[in-house]
Amino acid sequence: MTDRADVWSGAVLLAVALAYGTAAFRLPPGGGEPGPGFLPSVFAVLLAALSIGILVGGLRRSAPSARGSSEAEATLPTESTVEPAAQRSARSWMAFLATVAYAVLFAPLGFVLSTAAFSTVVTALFTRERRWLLAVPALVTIALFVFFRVALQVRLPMGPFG
Amino acid sequence: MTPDLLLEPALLALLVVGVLLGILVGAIPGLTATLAISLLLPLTFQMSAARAIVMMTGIYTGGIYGGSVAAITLRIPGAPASAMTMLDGHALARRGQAGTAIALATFSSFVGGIAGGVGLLLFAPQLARVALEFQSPEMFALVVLALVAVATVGRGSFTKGMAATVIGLMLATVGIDRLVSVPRFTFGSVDLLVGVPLIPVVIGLFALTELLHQAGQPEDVKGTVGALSGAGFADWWPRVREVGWKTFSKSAIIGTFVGALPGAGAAMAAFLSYSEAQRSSPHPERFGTGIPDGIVAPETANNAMTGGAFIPMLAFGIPGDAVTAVILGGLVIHGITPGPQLFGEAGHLLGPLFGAYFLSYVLILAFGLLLIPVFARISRVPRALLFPLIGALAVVAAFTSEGTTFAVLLTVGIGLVGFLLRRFGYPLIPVLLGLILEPMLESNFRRSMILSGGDPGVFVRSPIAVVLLLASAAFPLLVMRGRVRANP
Repeated sequence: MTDRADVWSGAVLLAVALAYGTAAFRLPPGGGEPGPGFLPSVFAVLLAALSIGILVGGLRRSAPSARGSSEAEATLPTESTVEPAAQRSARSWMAFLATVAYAVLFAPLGFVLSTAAFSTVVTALFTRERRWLLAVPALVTIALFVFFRVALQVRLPMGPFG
Repeated sequence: MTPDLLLEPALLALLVVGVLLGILVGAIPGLTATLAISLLLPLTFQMSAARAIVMMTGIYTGGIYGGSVAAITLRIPGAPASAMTMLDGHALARRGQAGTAIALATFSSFVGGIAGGVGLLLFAPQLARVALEFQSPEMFALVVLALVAVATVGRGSFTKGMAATVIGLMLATVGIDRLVSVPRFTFGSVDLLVGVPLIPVVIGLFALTELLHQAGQPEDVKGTVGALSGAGFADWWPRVREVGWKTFSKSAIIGTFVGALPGAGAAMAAFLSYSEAQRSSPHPERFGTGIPDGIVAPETANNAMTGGAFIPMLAFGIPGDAVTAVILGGLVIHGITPGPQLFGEAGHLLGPLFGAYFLSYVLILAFGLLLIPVFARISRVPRALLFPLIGALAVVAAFTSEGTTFAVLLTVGIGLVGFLLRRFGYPLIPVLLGLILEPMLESNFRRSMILSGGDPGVFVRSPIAVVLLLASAAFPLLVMRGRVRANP
């Protein structure tokens, strides 16, 4: 984790703390005992203090920090020296946009069409092999349909097939 | 009790089916034991009360265990309680030792489950009495300890861990205030009035975050880990011996006791147990890198919790966690009212319950060890198949859990937040713990203050609360000291 990342994340969290705190201080304070706004105000102050600590720490250090999240470190990928970082980052954002589209279209398009389309896009982010692009969407759609609709008898939106 | 159960093949078959269904559903990210019992509850309506109890017990214990499988192989906890198992379990799996990690989780689950059952059988009245000593100030102090402890564990920055915890606490404040019915942070949205539901957060935070993270890795179709090894007895048994009986015992006691506290749940048992294992370890810096103690402690505790959680349910009719709350509903549907009268009027059902409980853990040990080669291969499934499946499963599970497009969009939003937090080096587990524990923190804090007429001294008049609050203050210092000693 670089210092710049700490500066940016600290600044964003400070903004979140200020916005949340502003809303929290507008909540009824309670008469005598702590009301619904009391603990949220405490949380806002706590996050503001912590984010200032992260931000200042990031500004102070000049060399990249060796400390990071254990979770992040536990899953550090094997860095590719061939593929540019921007290209890999773009794939993450593509996956995000595909998931947003899937979430929005899930009910109107129905389970089958939306799942097949989403699986096709996401498979394409992981491989360009045609056999995978054809097999995975079909497999994913059938497997989830059998599990949720047939085995668990959960009602799924079926769109044009409904 | 157990022999009777073995003598009736239909009951035994139901237990086997229940355990296997529980393991299957628990192993699927986003589908928790609570959801499994809720979905499968209608199946028990046509059964006798004894058969329903046996099946629900199997689903419950199988579901709690099954959550560890996805946590180890995919780095996606099948249930919130498996989040701590993910840290060391997945780290071990990435070294090609998914088999060892699953075997450790299986054996720990068995030990924890049996210990929790013994606690239930022998010490239910005593545990229930001690649990009743935990009034609002003590519960508040216990939650503070759990929150501080989880921000400290792992190898990351304490400041970032605390910031992640506070983000989780803030998320939990969205919705109608539980004491005075004032909407908070809903921005006029009707969907947000009920608050931020847990399942979409778990799915978003871990399943979608993992999808977005993996999509940004170099293109290939290989699985997420290298060659597999470590599934044999000779591979994992020495690791069990290396961990030692102290970690097993402490975790079992923590799990059983937390289970006996109404509402505390498996996640808190696992968090506290992991933190204590790290605090008392001579190598705290190795936690999060694939250390066996990091798998044994949470798995022993969250399974011991299942025994403990039955105590308040059976003794007072108060569920110990969300799953026992659903089981309680199931029992009521079958005309049984848990509470003191259960021991009299429906005492004949306690035999099947206890018998099913103990046998389910024997089945978990057997199935878990037998299925290791199958489970371990999950982490070898090609990424081009695994992640489209996980992404689609996440969306369908989020839709199934809440039944609204809003819940799905919330899941996706949480997934993005989790992805960014992880990218900037913030741990995700404290976010989950903050969300889970905030309702307990706030309700117990405000109730204590109301009952004391606004006097904050209520928290220092209870010796238990004082000890827990002092432990909360000392915990980060002790862990930091351990880290400094390890890396002078």
